[in-house]
Amino acid sequence: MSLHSEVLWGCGYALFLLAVARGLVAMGRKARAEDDSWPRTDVARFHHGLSTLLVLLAGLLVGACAVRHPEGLELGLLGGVSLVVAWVARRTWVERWAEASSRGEG
Amino acid sequence: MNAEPRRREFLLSRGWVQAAALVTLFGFFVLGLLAYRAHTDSAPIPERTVTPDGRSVYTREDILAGQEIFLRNGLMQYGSVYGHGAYLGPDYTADYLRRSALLVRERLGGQEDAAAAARTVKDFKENRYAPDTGTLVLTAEQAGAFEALAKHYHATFSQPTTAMGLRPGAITDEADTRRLTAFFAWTAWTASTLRPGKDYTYTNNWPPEPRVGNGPTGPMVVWSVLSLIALLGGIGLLMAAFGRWNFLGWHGHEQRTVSFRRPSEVRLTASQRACAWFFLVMAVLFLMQALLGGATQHYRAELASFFGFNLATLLPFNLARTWHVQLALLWVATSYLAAGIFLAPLVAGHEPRGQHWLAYALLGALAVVVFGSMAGELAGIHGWTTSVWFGNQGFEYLDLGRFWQVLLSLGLLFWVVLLWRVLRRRLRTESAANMPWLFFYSALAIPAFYAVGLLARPGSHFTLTEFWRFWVVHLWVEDFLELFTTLMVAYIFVLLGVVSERVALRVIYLDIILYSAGGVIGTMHHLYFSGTPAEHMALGAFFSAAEVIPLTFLTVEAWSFLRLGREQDAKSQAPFPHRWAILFLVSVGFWNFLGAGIFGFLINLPIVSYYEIGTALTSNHGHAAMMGVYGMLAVALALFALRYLIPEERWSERAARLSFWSLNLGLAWMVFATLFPLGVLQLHESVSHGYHEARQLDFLTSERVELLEWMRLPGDALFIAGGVLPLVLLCWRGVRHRVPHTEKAGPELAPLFTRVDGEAGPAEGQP
Repeated sequence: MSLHSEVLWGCGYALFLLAVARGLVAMGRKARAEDDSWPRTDVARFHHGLSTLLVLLAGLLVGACAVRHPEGLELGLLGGVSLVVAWVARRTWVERWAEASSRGEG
Repeated sequence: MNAEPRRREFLLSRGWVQAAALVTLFGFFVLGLLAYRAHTDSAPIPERTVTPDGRSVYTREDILAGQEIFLRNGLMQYGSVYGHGAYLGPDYTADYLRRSALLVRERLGGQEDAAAAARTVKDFKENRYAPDTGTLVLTAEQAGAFEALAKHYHATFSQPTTAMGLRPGAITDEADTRRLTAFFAWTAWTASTLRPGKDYTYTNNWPPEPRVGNGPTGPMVVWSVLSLIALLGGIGLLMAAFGRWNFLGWHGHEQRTVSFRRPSEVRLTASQRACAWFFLVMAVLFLMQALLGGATQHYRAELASFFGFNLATLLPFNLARTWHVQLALLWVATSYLAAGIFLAPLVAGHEPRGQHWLAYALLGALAVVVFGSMAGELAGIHGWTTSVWFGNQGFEYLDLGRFWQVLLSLGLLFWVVLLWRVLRRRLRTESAANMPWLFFYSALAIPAFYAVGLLARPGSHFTLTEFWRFWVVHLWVEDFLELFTTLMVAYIFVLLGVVSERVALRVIYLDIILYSAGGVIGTMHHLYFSGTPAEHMALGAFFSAAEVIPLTFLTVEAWSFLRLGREQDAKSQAPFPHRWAILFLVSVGFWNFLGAGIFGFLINLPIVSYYEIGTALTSNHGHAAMMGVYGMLAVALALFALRYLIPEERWSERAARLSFWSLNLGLAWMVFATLFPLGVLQLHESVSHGYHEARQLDFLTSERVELLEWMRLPGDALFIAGGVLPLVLLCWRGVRHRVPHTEKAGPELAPLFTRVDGEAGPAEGQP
């Protein structure tokens, strides 16, 4: 019994996208580490926007794989990766929300 | 009597000029040597190609005529030769090689016969070209394969359907398809036959094809490793230099305090007002280019139908891609020309009479070239004309007919004359190494290096046409447009009072040194497998690796600039008017690092390029770097000027914001949803099953690949609807509600800021 190669590709690429997304968040954070004013706030927002897009894409990819390969082992792996997607998404958006709240952006 | 005005001293140490001149001259000296070697040591074109019993198979005239047929029918915008061109159709070098190898092996004993396989390799590798007679002797099996493939290509190109994305009956004349086959056969011969005295072919064993014994060469692996070392060592050295000499980059503490002028307080000249029309034309061309990109992409997702409509009868794939690629250069160039015209009076502090009429004349000429050349490409690809001058010349990026190419070169020169009219008074008072002169030199380089593309002639040796074509694609775009835009961005910062002229000048010289060190000789990284000698690959790989260093470094350095910007903004009483222009510049830094740096280096190593060239990883780099860097820069320059052209009450922050986010997120979606993963899949296919397989329609139209192609749709839609349309709206407002001209305010222009520390204006950077 072996996993479908497309699912392996999909999961691997989704994890890659999540890693890039976290890297972008870190770059955005570094941009405003020295001071928290414009244009660095906008730079951080730019990186956050891109990272959000990548997390969304990773989620879509996992979803598309689940629709195309609704088999036991594949679904197990995709379920595991979707948990990682959810964790990264939550972490990314919670951080963003916390930063926005601290600046009074709501 | 007028005394010669006293010139302002050079603001930096002379060492900067000497270093920049030395590095640039060294680069062009080596490039000159490589041009000589390309002319003397490229693969020969046999006068006659014959069977063992002396019967003619094809001649030199057939090969060159076939090349012209290939180009004027837009086949370089459908498939490729030597890996260069478009990526829907096959690579015809690899395609001919594979098909002929199979036919030869079949005739020698069958696909399963080991002796036939070994004999096939030997027959393809053996160089039977006699330089003294100009005769190439094919084996009987190879000659037989040519006849069979002439029939195959005739059937392929004459088919009366649009099943391949080409117009029905693209080439129906049997004599023409035979000449076309001769061209493919010659490129396949150069790709499989050993160079005299060497153990690799004229194309450094490209394409990978075990059936003719083509595999990676020793130099290919060695120079790949050395270029990696060059990259790592270069970054280390540069970091050390910046640690040692803290004044490098955008560093420098600004002593003065400035207040930005509100856009409504800045008086515009007549030629600056004319720029509103340039930016509207730019936005319309951008919209056309993006829509054509959508159509081109749709062919890859759904080859035979555009949502039920047979698009290929009107707009075949190769025409859509020709226009898409040409407009990519033209809309960006329109923005740069306009930005030059807009900035020149600010640099000079005045504008001569009648300048705006000349600007309108230039815009008219530009429109004639754009739409005239597009009409020529349409006529050429549909077979209505065979004219190289007014039809389709057919080189990727230099598709336009030669008449339009000459006209565009002259138009660019005319633009330099326009800048000279404005700048000359200022230039008389400046050291020839200061910013105004650098602004003028960099503008002058634009027509000069674009005109080099005229050396690529459809009837010349294909390797040499590729050599000169890449002077435009690489040197013109990646070096000289980059230099000019660096100058413009630096000048914008100086004009806004954000940085001093001394700091900006240092960054410009640093930019010249870093880009010239890698970028000039690095041009050869496009020519690893195009039939030039091995040293083009070696030097191209080694020096182009160094191109990544400034990309990495200048991205890191951008933070320093942002700090300076913030400090000035905090001191200013008026709000900073260029939020979105600056954010587009921030995105340029991001895409420069990702698109040009990472995605560029990803395909730069010869050993990677060997399997990858002509796949979606090339498109991935092309989109992320061309749109991400040059496109975003063009939009940034447009927004900078539009901020002054559009009255405050008509300016739309919402449109600028929407455009910024949609262009960036749409591009990121294109790259990460489709181009990059597809490129990796295609590379995997190329390495594990074969380059030929990875470029076949069978692979590109496979269900998994089509799914990836469809995934691009949301990104493309966002890019066009959310990104380009708001920009069109802003540019339209620039024309419709353009601020009025105030002639009576006097001939001298005020800068874009005032000093609030007791002085009226800029101290060192302004007239």
